[in-house]
Amino acid sequence: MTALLEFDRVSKWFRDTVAVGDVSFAIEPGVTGLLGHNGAGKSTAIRLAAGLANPDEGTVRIAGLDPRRSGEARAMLGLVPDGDGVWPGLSARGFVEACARLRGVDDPRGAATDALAAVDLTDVADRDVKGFSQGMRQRVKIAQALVHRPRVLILDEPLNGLDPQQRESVIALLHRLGAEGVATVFSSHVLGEVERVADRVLVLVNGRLVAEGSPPALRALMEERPRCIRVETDRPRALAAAVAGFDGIDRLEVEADALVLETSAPEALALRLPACARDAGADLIAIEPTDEDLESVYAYLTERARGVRR
Amino acid sequence: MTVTTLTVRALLLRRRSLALLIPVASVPFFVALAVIRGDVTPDTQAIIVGRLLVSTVAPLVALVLAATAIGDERESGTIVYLATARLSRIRVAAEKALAAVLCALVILSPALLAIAYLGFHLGVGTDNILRGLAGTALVGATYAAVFVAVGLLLKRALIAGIVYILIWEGSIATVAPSAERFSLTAWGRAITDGGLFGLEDGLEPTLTAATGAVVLVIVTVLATALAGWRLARMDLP
Repeated sequence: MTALLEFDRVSKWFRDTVAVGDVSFAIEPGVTGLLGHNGAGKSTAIRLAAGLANPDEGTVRIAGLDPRRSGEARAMLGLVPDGDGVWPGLSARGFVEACARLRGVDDPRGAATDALAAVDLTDVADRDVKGFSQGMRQRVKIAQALVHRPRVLILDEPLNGLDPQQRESVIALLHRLGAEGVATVFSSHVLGEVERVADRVLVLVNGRLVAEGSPPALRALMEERPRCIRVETDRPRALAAAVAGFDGIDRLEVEADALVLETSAPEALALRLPACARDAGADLIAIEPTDEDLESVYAYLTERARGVRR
Repeated sequence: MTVTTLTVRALLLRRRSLALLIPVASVPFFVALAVIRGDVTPDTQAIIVGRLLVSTVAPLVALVLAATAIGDERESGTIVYLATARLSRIRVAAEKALAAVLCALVILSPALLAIAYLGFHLGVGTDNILRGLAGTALVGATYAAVFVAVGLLLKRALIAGIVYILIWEGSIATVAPSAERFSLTAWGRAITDGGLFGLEDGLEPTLTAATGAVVLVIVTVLATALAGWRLARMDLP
């Protein structure tokens, strides 16, 4: 079966800089998060997906069609770009309606009304977009992307500039669209957002796809990575001396009231730590991992891709 | 025609577009001056229509509008909405050029009215008046199409266009007879001034009006095709 959005060994570079390198993935209905730091290649990947940029190598397909050449492919696509530009002198309704006309919607006015209602902008639909807050503009952009009922929806940092209530509203909308069978791809550099919204995550680092899967699957992928553990104790220096000789201690840092360890053998350390504390005359007050969140997983992947870790 | 409608609206709301009325006003000004001084001759008509309007004012207006029609979309990022539309890129380019032409005609309308009045005053006949209007409109359309293409090919299209109009069309092409065939305004003057009799040497068109019309239409079509081709291949922000 043909994927709704497919990258096949896609590369894009600007002079000597690889913006996207040999990236392959297929997107099906549901919500997919495109995660990466600033400059990781997310926006370039989105431009390639939307047919705004030409891949230097590889192919991009929307339902098997090239978005740069096929109007049919573009008709299946809704894009929420990063920029806030709108044509001057238009109300929200006028802007969304114009986008509906550009995409050949049969009833542009009715479709614009529905799309604006979906993003809770009905009350201000006839106001000039120029006077809108960033959050309202963002929702207008989402409305224009939905107006022709796309099968593939791509959003570049859609939660930027939204207040908490608006974020909840957009997150709920993305969930609903994903559940309705729209292949929804959104980019973000905020892990919490991706974790909350996406069924599946693609992690881009320096233009390369370094990991993909569900957020829990990404955690599982990282089980073997070195773990960082903070041991709160009354005698951190003594405890540090006691554990320093263990195999599997990669890094050791003494704080005023704690010892921070990085270990590639967390289970063995957990078994031996009480005995070490007893020998050192130290009380163990608390033991907690400091890198169990997705942020740490992401930082690890980033470092690994950059060659800091092997 | 959504692209045309959006572009016309955007262009006419720009202060830069309204500022074009200043060079346009030079045409009615010189027409009024000629009428007041009683100096209305075929040569006067050829100078005001051929040399001032067709060679300088119309290209300048078309240049600014065409460059703005594309440049503003690229700067604001709204070109993304056009590029992801179902329309073909060549249609987008053609509608952009059409919008620039329509706006150019609106902004040039005081000049067009003035040369029509000049023609009536001189008694050159309806044919010649229509030739003047049609020639100016055609030159404006050709320049709009050319500068839409240039706007997609060059980052500094406005500067390149001004240099081209002033250096090539404004000087070299007017003093070097062999260069006339490569001058769009020379072909335009062949239409606007071709029906005037008794013109001084140097003002008498050496090219034919019919060929001029064909050349300008061909250049317009080719420039639009080039713009569409470029838009389809270029990377957009």
